[in-house]
Amino acid sequence: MKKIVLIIFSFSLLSFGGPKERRILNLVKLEIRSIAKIKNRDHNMSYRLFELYSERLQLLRTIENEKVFAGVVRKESAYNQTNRLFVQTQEFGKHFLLKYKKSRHLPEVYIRLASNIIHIKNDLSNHELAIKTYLKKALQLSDDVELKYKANVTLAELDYNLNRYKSAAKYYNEVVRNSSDPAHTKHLLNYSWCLFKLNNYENAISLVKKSFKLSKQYPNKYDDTRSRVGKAINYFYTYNKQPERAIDFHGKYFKSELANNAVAVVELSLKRISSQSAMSAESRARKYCTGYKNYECLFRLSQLKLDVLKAGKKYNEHRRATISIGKEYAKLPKKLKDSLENETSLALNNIGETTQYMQTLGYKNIYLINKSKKNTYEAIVGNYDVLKVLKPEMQYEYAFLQGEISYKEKYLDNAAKFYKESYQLVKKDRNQKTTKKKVLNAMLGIANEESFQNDKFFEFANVEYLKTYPREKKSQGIYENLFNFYFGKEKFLKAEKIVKAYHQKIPSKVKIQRDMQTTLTDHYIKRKDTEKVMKLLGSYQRGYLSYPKSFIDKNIAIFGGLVFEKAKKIEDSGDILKAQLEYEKIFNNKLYPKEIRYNAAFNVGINKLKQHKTEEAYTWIKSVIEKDSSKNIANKIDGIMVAAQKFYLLQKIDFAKEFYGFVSRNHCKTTKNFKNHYPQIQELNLATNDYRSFESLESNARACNVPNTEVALAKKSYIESLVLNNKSGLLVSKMKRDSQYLDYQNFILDHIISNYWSGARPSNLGTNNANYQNVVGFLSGNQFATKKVIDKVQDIKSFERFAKESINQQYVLNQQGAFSFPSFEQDFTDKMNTLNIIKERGLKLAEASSDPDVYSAILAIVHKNFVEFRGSVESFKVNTEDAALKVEVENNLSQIVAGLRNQENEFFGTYSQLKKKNKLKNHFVKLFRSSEKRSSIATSIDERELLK
Amino acid sequence: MIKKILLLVFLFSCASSEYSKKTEVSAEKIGDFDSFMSMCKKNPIKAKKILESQEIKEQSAEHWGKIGNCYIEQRNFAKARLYLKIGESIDHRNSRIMQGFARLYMANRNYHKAYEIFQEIEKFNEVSSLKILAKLENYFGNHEKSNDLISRFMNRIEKNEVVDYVKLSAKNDIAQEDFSNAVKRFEKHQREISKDEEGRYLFAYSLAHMGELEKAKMLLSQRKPAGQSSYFQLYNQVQHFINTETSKKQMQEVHHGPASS
Repeated sequence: MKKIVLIIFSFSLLSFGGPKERRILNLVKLEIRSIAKIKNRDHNMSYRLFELYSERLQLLRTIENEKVFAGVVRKESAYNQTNRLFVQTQEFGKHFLLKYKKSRHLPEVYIRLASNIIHIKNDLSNHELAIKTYLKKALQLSDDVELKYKANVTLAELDYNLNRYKSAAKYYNEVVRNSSDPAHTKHLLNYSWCLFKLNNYENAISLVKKSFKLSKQYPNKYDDTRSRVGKAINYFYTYNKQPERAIDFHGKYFKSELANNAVAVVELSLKRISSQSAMSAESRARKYCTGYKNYECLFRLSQLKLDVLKAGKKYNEHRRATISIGKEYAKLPKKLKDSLENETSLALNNIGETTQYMQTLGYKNIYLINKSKKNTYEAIVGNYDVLKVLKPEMQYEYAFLQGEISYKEKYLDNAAKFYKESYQLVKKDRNQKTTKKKVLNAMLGIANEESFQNDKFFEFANVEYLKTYPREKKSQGIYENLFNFYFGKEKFLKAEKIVKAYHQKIPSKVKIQRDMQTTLTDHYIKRKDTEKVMKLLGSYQRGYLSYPKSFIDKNIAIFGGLVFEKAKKIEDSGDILKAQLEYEKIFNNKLYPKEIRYNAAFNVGINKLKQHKTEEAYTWIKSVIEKDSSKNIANKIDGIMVAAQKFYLLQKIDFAKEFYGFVSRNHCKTTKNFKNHYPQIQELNLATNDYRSFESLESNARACNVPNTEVALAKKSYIESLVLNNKSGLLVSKMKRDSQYLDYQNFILDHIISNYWSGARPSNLGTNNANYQNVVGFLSGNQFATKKVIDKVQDIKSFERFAKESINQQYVLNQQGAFSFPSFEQDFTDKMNTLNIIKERGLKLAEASSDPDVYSAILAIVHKNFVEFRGSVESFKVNTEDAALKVEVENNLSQIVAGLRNQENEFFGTYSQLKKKNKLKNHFVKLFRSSEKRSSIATSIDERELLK
Repeated sequence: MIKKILLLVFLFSCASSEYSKKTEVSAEKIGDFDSFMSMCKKNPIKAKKILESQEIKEQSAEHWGKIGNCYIEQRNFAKARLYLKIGESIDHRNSRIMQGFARLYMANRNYHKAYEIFQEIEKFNEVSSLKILAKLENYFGNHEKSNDLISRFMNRIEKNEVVDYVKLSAKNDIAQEDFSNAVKRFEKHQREISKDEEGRYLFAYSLAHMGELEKAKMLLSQRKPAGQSSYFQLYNQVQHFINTETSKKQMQEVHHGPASS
């Protein structure tokens, strides 16, 4: 305490250093040099020189003091110059005393000698005698008031410095009466200190305020004591238990030094009065500092406050103060921050220790903030945030500690955040290798916590670890974990990169790496990512991960399948041309298994077919059938049949037949859909007149699981085909031996009969043999002939016989030179009988037939006979001279003609009726017309014209 | 029948579906039936190309009918039957299909069966069918019916066919001794008929029947057929008839004097 007071006092006395002092010093030095040059100095000049030396000494000491306080020089060597000059100055003064014994300046010289000692020497008690001797000599030589005043001042200062406050006060009481001295304000201040030392606080305050007032009021008249008054005020008010008044004084009059003084008052209050009083002063000071936005002041107050609160274990308030100090510090300019290093350090220690303490108790479940675990945790973490502000270079450590406490308290998200922050701060710092590892391990620890599900952090922690320690033993597990993580999260590219990195850094673990890569490969295969698989297989072939050939071959086979599927997908999407290119590529790549290549070739063929490129399609599909394995072909049978069917529908019968033939011969029994294709296969056989193949397949139909109904339909078509192609002869011979044809007999016969009627004419009876023989031969040896077909054949046979016999019957009556009735009667009766026989026979046959053509043809023949006979009768000439006979005969003949005509008309009428009801299609009905209308030329076209 | 439809459904279900538009284009290329049939006959290569470009998904019996008939024109009866069968399985009453089968019967000289079918499709009034049916009616002696049919399509046939059907209808007239009508027909197309050998003879024959012997003689004398001509017999028959009629006329003139105008 004594020491502090002494320093402050010394300071108050000696610290005159400043621009003003330096300016004076320069002037003094200048004057010294000019006087020193003069060789023949008189006593006046020498006294002036001594005066100047003394002045220089005191000014230099003031400057040295400043330097010491500023810490610019070490105390031990700080005063070397003044100590040296002191000796010279004092010697010069003493020399003056000896040289100029009668000089009028002697009293002044004595005063100066005393004053120089007071100003330069600290151990004044050792020099007290010398000082007082000098002063006595001065007073003995002169009774000048001024001199006496100076002597009093010197004595006051001496007593004060020797802690003789009472005595000093007595001298000062005298001295301060002289208000003309520019040092008056200084003496008032020194006097107030004496009273303060004598515990006379009220008077001390009054004096010091007077000093301040005069300094302020008369700056040119008096020394400026205001800054020293500020320091004095702090002590005086505080010792008088009025620290707030000191604050108010500074707040009102002395805001430039507010920070220093406010802090001094608070510190002093804390020491002198109580922490409560100190906090009260702090609070008052804070208001002023806040008002003036003086953050230095606020910061320093907070720093003190933290100490108080810490000591008082007021943790909630401490927490608030911590927050404040952080903010306040942040607002300080850098220069100030530097100058407040000490305060900052104190604050750091305070907050650090408090935080550590809260943390330690927290681990014991004692929570200092609101007795709340959460609040306490938040306070600790918050404190570290402030520490980061106060000491940015240690941010990484504080962040790590935040991470640690967060991890401990299970605030895992926060922990991850803080660890990450810490890591980011140290990751590029080569000097922080240990910390970096510590943080990375911490990050890994939390990343692997089961209860902590933060993928991003997991990835970050593991990746950063691997980046930093790619070859460490521990990293092996991390590579694997990270791979599993990526794979699980479907980040396959990253998983792939991990394997690659693992292999690059630790190639000795190739087996594990292969397993990992195989997992990926399998996945891509499963996903059918052909591009990817292709690239991977390419890299395996180039040696990546040293996969064995068997593995590569196996996967190439799988890949071929994938590529094939992909092409199929393209095809299904409708882009046939693109799909085709893909298929062709597959086929041309001999690395792929034969099976896949031929599957592709087959699809090329099918697609060519879709584009109607039938020739190309045929070539491709045929190559598959010829070269693909039997097993694989068996899987394509349906496709081959569809292709054949398309060829068939595209009218490429030969191609269709070839492929269908292939299936029929080799696969019909094992192919489910064969039965559906059976009809068109058989139609193709018929269309190519390949009856042998038709029959062969028909005989295998049951074995090929073709339903009977399909077989029957094909059979019918077969029969139709043969009949249509006039090959019914072939059928007839089979039909006679085979009951299967029973149902078709009528159908076949109808066609044969149709053919018969197509060619049978009145003019070609007997020459239409082939058609007639077909009809007649139908029954020959026919074991299965039905009554219906027998009747139909019989009809034709009867008709043919009747027609042959009747169609060309001649009825010409023998012309007589002279009419002879008996002869005529005989001739007429014969002809008439013939006609009647034909009529009866014909009508009988006609009635018996159910075929309108038979009926109408017979009727036409009978009608023709009647017409012929009537013509003969009409043309008969009765050559007789017997007129009556002639008339009678001619009348009779006329009646006969009329009767015949009636009969003809009846026949024609019947025919007309028949024609209305039936579509008659025979050439015999023309007999009705040709008989009636006797055209001499052919009016019906012949077959040649018909087919034109 | 149901079976057949099912079969066709199966056939077409196997075909791909992305070419339906193509079908429309190709179908258009075929054009109308008669001109396409004409192409089938005259330019079988082009017709074949068009046919082969036809899409298999085409489901109409009409389409397959055209294809079948085209093969008939090319006398490829086996293929014709094959594709007509497909059409038949879609619609066995389709006129093109029935016509195709009828023509197949014709080609195999089963006129009787063909006639039956053409009579069935007469109602569709299609020229190509009516033409054949008209011939068949004549062939089987139904001249009146033949002429009925000809009158239904006469104005719908190509120019170069006109003479054939004028002659056919005239034959039908002659068969019915309607010479007046026959003459009218010939006179209407005299220019074309005069260039046709058979037409001239038939025209002359009809004129002779109508008493226009001089005109008939003139027509007949335009050009005498060679011995190997298919119409040589007809020429002789007509010549004979004209001569007979001329003699008769002369005889009448001897007895009654020349006819007054």
